[in-house]
Amino acid sequence: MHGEELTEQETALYDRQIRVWGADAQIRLTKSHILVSGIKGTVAEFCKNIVLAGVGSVTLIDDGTVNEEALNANFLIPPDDNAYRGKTVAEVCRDSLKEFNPMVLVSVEKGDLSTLGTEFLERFDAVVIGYGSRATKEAITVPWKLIPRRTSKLYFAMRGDY
Amino acid sequence: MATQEQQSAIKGAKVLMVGAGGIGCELLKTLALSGFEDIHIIDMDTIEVSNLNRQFLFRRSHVGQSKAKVARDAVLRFRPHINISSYHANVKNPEFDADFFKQFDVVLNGLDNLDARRHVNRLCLAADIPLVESGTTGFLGQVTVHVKGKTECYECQTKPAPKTYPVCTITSTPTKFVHCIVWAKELLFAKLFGDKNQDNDLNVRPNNAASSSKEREDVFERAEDEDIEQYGRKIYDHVFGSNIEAALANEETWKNRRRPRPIYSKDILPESLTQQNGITQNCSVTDGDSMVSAMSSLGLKNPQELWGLTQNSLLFIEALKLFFAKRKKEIGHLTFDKDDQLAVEFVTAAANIRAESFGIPLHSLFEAKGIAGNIVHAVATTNAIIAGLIVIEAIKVLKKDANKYRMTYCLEHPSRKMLLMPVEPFEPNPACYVCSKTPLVLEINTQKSKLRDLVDRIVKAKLGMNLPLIMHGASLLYEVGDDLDDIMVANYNANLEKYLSELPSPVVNGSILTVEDLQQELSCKINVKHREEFDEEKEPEEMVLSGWTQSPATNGDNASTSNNENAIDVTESSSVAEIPTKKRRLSEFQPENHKKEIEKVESEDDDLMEIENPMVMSKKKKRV
Repeated sequence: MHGEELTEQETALYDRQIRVWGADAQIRLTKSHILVSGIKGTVAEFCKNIVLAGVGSVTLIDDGTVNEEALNANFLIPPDDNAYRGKTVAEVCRDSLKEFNPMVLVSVEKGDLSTLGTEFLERFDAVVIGYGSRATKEAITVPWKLIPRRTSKLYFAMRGDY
Repeated sequence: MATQEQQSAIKGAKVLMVGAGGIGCELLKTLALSGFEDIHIIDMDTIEVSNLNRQFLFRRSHVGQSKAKVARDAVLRFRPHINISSYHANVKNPEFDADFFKQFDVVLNGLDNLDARRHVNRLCLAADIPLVESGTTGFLGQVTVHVKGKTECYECQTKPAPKTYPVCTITSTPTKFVHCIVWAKELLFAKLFGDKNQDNDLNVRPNNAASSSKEREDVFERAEDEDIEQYGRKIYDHVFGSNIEAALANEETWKNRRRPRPIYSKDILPESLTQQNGITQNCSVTDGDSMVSAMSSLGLKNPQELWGLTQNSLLFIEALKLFFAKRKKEIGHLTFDKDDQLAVEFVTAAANIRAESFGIPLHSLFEAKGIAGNIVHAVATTNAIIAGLIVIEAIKVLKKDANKYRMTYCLEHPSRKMLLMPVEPFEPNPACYVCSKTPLVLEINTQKSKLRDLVDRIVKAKLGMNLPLIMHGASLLYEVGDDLDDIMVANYNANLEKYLSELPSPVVNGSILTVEDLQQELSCKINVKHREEFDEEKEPEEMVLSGWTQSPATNGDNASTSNNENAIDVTESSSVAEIPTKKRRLSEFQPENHKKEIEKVESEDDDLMEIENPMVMSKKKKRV
């Protein structure tokens, strides 16, 4: 989808940030793929920022249902029954995020984080884990270490002692 | 989560936001999510495409609409039961007087220019309402708190004035690319496409040759049926060729300077462009005037590419042609607009050719546009951080937690592992003419300067007054207002044209003027000192205002720009203040214990990074 040059539309949209980090960095952004699991508070903010920045794609994992806590802590979820009924947190967030930047591919992956294997994780340049237990953290660290490519990053933005 | 105390302070608060742009969008979102229920926003701008990379409350479909209104609607969607009032207006409007400001518990600024910031500062002082100021540029940002009587006001430390350049540097002796841009934008573009009645320094030469100015005037006028390309080449040859030759004739100027070389179109461009470049004949224009682009018709795709003299020359002629061919009606009324693609192309080309002539490195269109348009580079994340900090300070203000007020600076790279640097606010500057009423001294030639000069350059520009009133003793020399009758207005207009010493109440050496802005509730006393001579280079305005203490925290740059102003005004100052190095009640966040925590948590693997739990961190801080 993206060659070695930015399209006219990208240049117009990303003008102000290209002046910060340059066209090369912007091109690399458009080729990156991010995995996000556990969307609350800080991670919702992160999703907004990374989508605005113009990454290639964002894959969301969060099978949780929309409850009161989610409505309070996550501004990506509109307090409108019709909007979120029958959907998971990830699905509602995907719909909101797509609006921030139609040029970014935002998709949902169902299933538990711990079932993800090395092959799946290989696709991503960065992975952000929003919440989970110690077990989750260990579960993902194992396949992560098996990925031969060492240039990507795994971030934990988790609360509480784990 | 907020404590009970915080929650009640927040719930009952009435907050004013000034600005609904980069910082504004993030701020409105954060305020709403933090439990604020009564928010007012003022913003005079409309939404543009280049806003969408960070002003996330806006969509492409909103381009052209009011920022304040769309921001309000967007936030109400996820917090439908709070009150948000939007004003699509200029905060300097008289409706926003001290009484208007008095209804709020705190004012939060998300502005992008010094002028408005100073104005709001004064209104907040007049209304005695705390002000939380902020600004961002790229990865840098800061948040500052200003409470009358307790801390410095926004103007206690002079902020760098917009950069200006001496006229002769622009017209005759440029040494930097920005000089060429200013020439291309303020002189050439203005001369060709702007208001014909405006004074224009385009042909100013130090020792003016006797050749008739009438001749020169005719060059820029295009005859009714004159071939556009011929006209373009004529202009090209005039400004880049013969004007340069004429300048070279003055030996004195070039004694210690690199001589420019004249450039003529016949040497750079093929004889006839319309033959060479078939594309010019049928421009790919479909969607109306705003889509007209010389780059497009020349087949140039990449604005980041560095083009040489030939490409820039082709661009120059093509842009000029397109203005006359497709936008004829606008000629004579245009001002440079960074979002006007054709104008940007023309100015880039002109600046580059001039640069080539003077041996200055050329720049890409992308770079030139940034300089010509005073574009501030910006990303979403810095604004998000700053917005968060603003809310934190706002809550402290609402709780009147004066000891906790902080000026916080967001750095580009962590210093001692910290990205945010909090600093205690300083006490008010006793020599600040805004919040401490210090008198000022004005050195001026009272026999050769008119009242108009004093009003424009000192009262409005330097002192930042919007609707000034000038008194000499009991005599009212000048004022602005809606309720003035015709006789008074005529009287004031007459006064503007008089030399100071010839005013009905003569202003001479030793006179004391009182200058006021009733809306800003600011009053200053100016002691006038007559001075015969002024240095043409260093004091081109022939006026020197002094008296308030320049704080040593600001760097050397300020000294050079504050006295060196003239008619050509260029860039808006960066919105980010210098981090104060002067220490007057300064305390810094202690990093030692914090560092230990980070080290413990960091994993061995360099590709695994953990973000320390902020709750855990703050608990540990208290123990220290």
